[in-house]
Amino acid sequence: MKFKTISILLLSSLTLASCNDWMDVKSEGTATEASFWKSDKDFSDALVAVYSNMELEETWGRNLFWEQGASDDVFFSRARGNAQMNLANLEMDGSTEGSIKDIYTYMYQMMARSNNIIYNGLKLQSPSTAISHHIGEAYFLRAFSHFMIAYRYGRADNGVPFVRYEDYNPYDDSTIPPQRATVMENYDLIIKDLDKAIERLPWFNEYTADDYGRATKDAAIALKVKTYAYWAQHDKSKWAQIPALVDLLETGGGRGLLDNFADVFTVANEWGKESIWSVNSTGATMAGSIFPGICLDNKGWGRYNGWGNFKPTLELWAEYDQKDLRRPVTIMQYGDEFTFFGEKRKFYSSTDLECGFMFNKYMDPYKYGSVNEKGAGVSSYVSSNGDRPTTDLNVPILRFGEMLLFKAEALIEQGKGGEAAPVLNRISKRAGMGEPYTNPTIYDLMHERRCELAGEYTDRVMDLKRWAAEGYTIAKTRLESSKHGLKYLNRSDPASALDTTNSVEMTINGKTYKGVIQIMAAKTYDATKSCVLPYAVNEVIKAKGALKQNNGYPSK
Amino acid sequence: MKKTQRWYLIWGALAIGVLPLRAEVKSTSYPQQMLSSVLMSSTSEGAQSLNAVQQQRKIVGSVKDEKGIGIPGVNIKVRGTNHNAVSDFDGNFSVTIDNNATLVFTYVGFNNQEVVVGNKSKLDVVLKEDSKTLNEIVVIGYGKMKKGDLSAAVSTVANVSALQERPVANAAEMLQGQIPGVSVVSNGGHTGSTPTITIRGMGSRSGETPLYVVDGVPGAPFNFSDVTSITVLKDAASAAIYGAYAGSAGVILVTTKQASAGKPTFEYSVVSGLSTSQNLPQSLTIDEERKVRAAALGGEQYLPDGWDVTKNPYIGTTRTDWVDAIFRTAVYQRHNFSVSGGTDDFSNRLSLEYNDKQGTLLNTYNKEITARFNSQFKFNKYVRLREDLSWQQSSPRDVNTSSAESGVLVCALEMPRNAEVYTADGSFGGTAPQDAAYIAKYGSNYSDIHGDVINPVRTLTANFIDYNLSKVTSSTFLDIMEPIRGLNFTSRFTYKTNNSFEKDFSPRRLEPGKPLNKNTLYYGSSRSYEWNIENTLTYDRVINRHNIGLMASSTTTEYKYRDFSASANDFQSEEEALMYFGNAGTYLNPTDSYAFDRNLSIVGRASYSWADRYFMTASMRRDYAGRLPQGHKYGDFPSATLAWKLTSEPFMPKSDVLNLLKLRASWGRIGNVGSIAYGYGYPTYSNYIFGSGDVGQQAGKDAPVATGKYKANGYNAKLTWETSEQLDLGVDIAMFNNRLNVVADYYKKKTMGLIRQQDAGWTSSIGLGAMYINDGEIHNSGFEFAATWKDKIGAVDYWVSGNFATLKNVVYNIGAADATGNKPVWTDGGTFKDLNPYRTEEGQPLYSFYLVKNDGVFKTQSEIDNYKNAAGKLIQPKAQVGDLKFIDKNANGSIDSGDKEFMGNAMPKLTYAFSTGFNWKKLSFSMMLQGVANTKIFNAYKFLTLNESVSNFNRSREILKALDGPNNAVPRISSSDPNGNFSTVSDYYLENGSYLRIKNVTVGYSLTSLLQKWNYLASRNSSLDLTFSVDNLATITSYSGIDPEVGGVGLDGGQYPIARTFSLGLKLKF
Repeated sequence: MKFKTISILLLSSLTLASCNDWMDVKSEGTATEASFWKSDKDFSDALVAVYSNMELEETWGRNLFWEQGASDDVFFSRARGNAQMNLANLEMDGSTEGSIKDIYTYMYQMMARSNNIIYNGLKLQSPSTAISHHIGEAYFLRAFSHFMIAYRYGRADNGVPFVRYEDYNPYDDSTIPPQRATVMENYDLIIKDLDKAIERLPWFNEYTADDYGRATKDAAIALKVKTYAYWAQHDKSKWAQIPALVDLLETGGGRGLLDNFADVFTVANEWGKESIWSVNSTGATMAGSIFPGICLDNKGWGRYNGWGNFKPTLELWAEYDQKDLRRPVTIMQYGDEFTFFGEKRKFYSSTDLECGFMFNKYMDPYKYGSVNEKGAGVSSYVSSNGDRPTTDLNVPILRFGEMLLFKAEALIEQGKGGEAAPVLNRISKRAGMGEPYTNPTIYDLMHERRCELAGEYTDRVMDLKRWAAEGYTIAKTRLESSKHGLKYLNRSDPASALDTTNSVEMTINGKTYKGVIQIMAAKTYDATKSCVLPYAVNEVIKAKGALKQNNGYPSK
Repeated sequence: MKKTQRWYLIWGALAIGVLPLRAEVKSTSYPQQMLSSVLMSSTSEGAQSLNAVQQQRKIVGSVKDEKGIGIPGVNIKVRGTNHNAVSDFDGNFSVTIDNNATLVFTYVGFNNQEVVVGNKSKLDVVLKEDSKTLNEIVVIGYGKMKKGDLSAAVSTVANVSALQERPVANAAEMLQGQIPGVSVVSNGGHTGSTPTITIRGMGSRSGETPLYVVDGVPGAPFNFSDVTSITVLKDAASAAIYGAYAGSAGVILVTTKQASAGKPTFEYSVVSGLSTSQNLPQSLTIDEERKVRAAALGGEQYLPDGWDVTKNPYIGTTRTDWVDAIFRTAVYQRHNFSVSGGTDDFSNRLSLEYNDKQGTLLNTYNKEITARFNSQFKFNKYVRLREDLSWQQSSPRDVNTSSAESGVLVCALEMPRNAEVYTADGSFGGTAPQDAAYIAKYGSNYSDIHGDVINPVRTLTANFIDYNLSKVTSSTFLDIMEPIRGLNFTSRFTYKTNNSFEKDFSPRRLEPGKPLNKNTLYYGSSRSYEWNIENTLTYDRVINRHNIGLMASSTTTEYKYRDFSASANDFQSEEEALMYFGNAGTYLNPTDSYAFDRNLSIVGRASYSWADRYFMTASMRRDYAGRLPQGHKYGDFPSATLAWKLTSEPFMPKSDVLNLLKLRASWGRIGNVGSIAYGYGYPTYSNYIFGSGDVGQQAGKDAPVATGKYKANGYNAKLTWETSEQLDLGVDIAMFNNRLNVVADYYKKKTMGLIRQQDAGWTSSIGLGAMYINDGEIHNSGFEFAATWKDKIGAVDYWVSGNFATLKNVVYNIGAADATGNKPVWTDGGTFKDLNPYRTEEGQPLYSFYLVKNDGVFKTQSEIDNYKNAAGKLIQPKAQVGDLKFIDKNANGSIDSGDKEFMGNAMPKLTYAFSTGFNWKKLSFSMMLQGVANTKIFNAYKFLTLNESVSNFNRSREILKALDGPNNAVPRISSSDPNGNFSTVSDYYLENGSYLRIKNVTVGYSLTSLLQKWNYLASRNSSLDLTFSVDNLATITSYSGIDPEVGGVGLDGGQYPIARTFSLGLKLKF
């Protein structure tokens, strides 16, 4: 080697053939393809990079919720441009909705990274138990991110792109994942991945605290339930799969309903029996979802940097019976008392666009702490960075309450209303509404589902779209209806009377309200087009023919 | 380190190895050859041997110019022998001659003169200044050449010394407007960056920077005041010699003052100036803001409570002019001190420079101190050793102005003007009072009526930053001079090491706006070295009318970089004395990184000319880049040139009208791997680092931090060189006794196999960043023209010069079409918020603006109601009077992406400059104008400053125009912008970027005569000159933004403006 070096220096022009070793420049710092995928930690580190996408503002922090602007439950209480308003108005054009493009990118990153874990894990001759679990997590995450795309973009006549690296040998990075012919094909692949995840993953109850937040058998089963529920709009037979799976969650996984609805949304119960799959969040490390900060009133009355993006509508408020215990847990109205950084205060909202309400489901972490000498709220339960307002509260994605609702829906859809009654009654009983159902209809189910899950990532707008697809015209009506709020005389006074001069009286859901103002105009829902999102036009162009745009949307 | 020592040893061995060679050839004496071919051809070999045995004696004398001032450094040769001398600083010389000797005096810029000595023992010679710049020596790659003999497109900067008197801190700023085809675009007034130089159009998508070669050393630092000449190798044929180093952007050769013989001379110069920024925008007062906000919401009754003075009294008063608060009058100063002297055998030069440039934005600056030591040891006439050592330390502090969230110019307009820079207790003020008593009394501080905006004075001043970068470069040259006639050998060893250290403490940000209740201490440190060894052999001979030149060279380079950084949070105290890790509450994961690279090149060149009529050269270079994947490491880069000097032809009559007519043609290729990461051949997994040092993790009850690993980009194992090929046709003309000089060129540059991230065929659904590929072809072509007229009217010397260049940039090939025949497009370029105005398509210029066209605002409701497509569909149903009317290009009845069209790009199609000046006795004057035309700028700053639908920010006062009724300058004010006035990527943002700037005016006055009244100073040939200059005196433009020179690809998000500077300079030599 020394001789070579010298010869290069003196006679480099004559000895180029021997310079290959000298010119072989290697990089250092992190593992290379050849040295990675050996230890348990390699697989665990690779999984961190998949889970991490769940913590972004662009996914479960905020962007995924912009879609809910099209639902009848949610109102953007701060002025937004067309990037979000197009979603709310069901006027997507594939070029303007930047926030959607981010979700698309991050979900496919999760799929690619999970794929890489599965691909390299399966190549190991005798993987350790830990690696085998990690491969199971990757199967779940691939299915989970795949599902997020499939139910948003996939149609019966146009599936979404998806690839399994293990179907190729070797897999080439630069292959555009083939677009599946139908979304049913995607759902089938999702179920297959989830079955493999179920084989490998332990129940949540088998995990120790160190592993809380990793994918579980429970989560994989719950996602199967949700996948079948969405598949059912194209194939009714899929409803039959659901009840047994939900029962398994309870009998095998020990999942169940907490006794008190309010307890579901507390830091204390975030790993409780009702939780199945959520964004694991911590205020101090700024890890997790910023969604609680997003829903907090803009600037939190001078105490904390709430973003105040999403507020509930009067339509949602009107859906609840007055005695329904879920209403105060879900929605705060003027005069409601709550604790904020250790101080008792009464709710009012003088910020931005007026609607008179605020979501209350994510307020638990703001109870703690104190107010400093400058009037700012300080707490170890919330992030110190107003640009990334995470809290100690995990943000739920799948919880057992929703599973019971899917079971009830599945039974109703199979004409087994009688069997559905006890299931639905469990939900309504906890809500303080007794056990009213003997043979519930789909409309009873719709009511319970809305009341139970409002303001969560369970996806009201996609519920409405799938019900519309199943032929329930009420869903289309709800998607198209105008939205309203309440107008107060003095917005800064929690005890303010309603402003009855600059508003109207209106009957919603059989109840008459005074002081009503319209906060969003009616819109049109074109089921042939708006049932799914458009692919970004740039994505269609870049795919060079490998991606077919969804019906009705521009592809140039 | 061990390895490095080994290289030193090897180099030493090499040096020793060639010494015996010298000994062998010592006994043979050959005459020195001169560059002047005229002299060469008149030297007959037979005459030398006859003279060799004649008697020898000494003669002394002096050389002066026409004004009677001694000229130092004149080369004096005894014709037919190898005796020679160099005049000292007073112009005196002494040399050994034979009887009947003829002395030849040569000095750059003066006519050669031959004097027959005869019996004289003392000679006083007067040299005439050479108006024929054609004999000027031009530095080219690995050599020098007479300007008149050039066959490639090589341009020199005419008057470097005059430019040095301007308050500019780098060579790039100085080049602006000097050379046609060399576009210099300042990146605003940033203290931490230098202007972007583009030579003959943008060819690469990944950006190109030209290579600076300083005294033959690529990338060496230099003292600005030491520069003696700057040459730009514009065409590929001349730049090809630097191959890989050159990139596809071209080469800038800089020569600096070197040690020379003579009595010690001291020089001191100082330039000091004051800078201010012009044409700054202004924001709304708080009352105007309330008015605008009410208009946006549809009436006073919709204003949130925070706007009610009875509920929130703080809103009642305008307290701060934020634009005024962030700008200042900045001071510039540059001091240079140098001393030089020595004998013919041993000489050295020391130069010290201190450069302190303040930016016009508060607390921005760049302080630089450079020391350079240069020495020469001449062992005998064959062996010379030169050493060039420089050390530079810089401490810049700059600020971000391009961020839509924290950029200080954006924030200065977005801050409400009722807010204060500092609160009563001395802490920074936010958008609203952060005062527990106020909140208790009024229930809130109502910060919700303002957006998330950071006090820009805080951004500029709050952080404690201690940063310095230290660079040491040593170049050692060993010259073996003519052991065989015409043969020269130079071996060079260069070692560069850079060390940086940074300590940055960011205090808590408690005030409303964008609060961050966490302080951070960051330490970063890096170290790199690079060595390169270059061995060059040249052979130049003139045999009768044949002029032959051969050159062969090889270069070996190694580079290594390491860095390390660590940070910690939660310091209880924010006192400077306690900003140390020991006082932190939380420690974050440290990070480190590494880079390593090796390169190897060989190059050969042959040149030939006959009878000063026909000139040709050919060169070939092969480069090996270590970073490329195995099997794809090397690239070959050939070049060739031809020139025909018609005026040397016998058939051309000699005349004073036409002194020179020369036609040139050149062709060559150069390569570029600049955009490829070091060690690309071995891709690594990336670390997932979340946000500012925070790492995300889903697993674990309290979500402990962990680092994720993932594959970031697709990998291309066949990635190789990007090649740029250029054809140049030129003509050089000198007329009217050389008073008029004209250079004109046409060029066509093709960049092929572009290194870029794949766009077409790479979708987000792949889930990886796009891989790098070689694909696509871009063409640049243009005409360049420069003319200079120099003459004298009585005692006034004056000159006028002008240049212009055109540029046509076309994307020629963009990759294969898909099955349906659709050609791919590139969509990169840049975004501001959600606005992405760029699209690149075949046949269009690179980074074209692709926008919806607007037709002003709707003036009446009926205009809106009548705006329908052929099918009768209302095109803009949500429009109101005052909203923009967009053109429905595809006539589908709605405004969508199908209505976009290409609207040019930001590369000026014409750049020009004009300068003039005169010298009259002790007074000198010069002026330079510089401009660009036919260029576009996307003024994205409007999106934040005129658009009420983005959060609750304060806006520019320009928005008030919208209140006067429908207005083309500012569309209707609305809180939701339902018509998409601002969210539509339209040509509302697109503006003409043409400008003409009075770049510089300089007046100089010489006080030398005053100084020379002292005999001692007169005897030392002392001089004293004063200058007064104004930079960026005035700009003529129709651009509505702050400054039309926005840099980049024309996306203006509120650029740090270029300052107007008044400065005084003084230069003393004694």
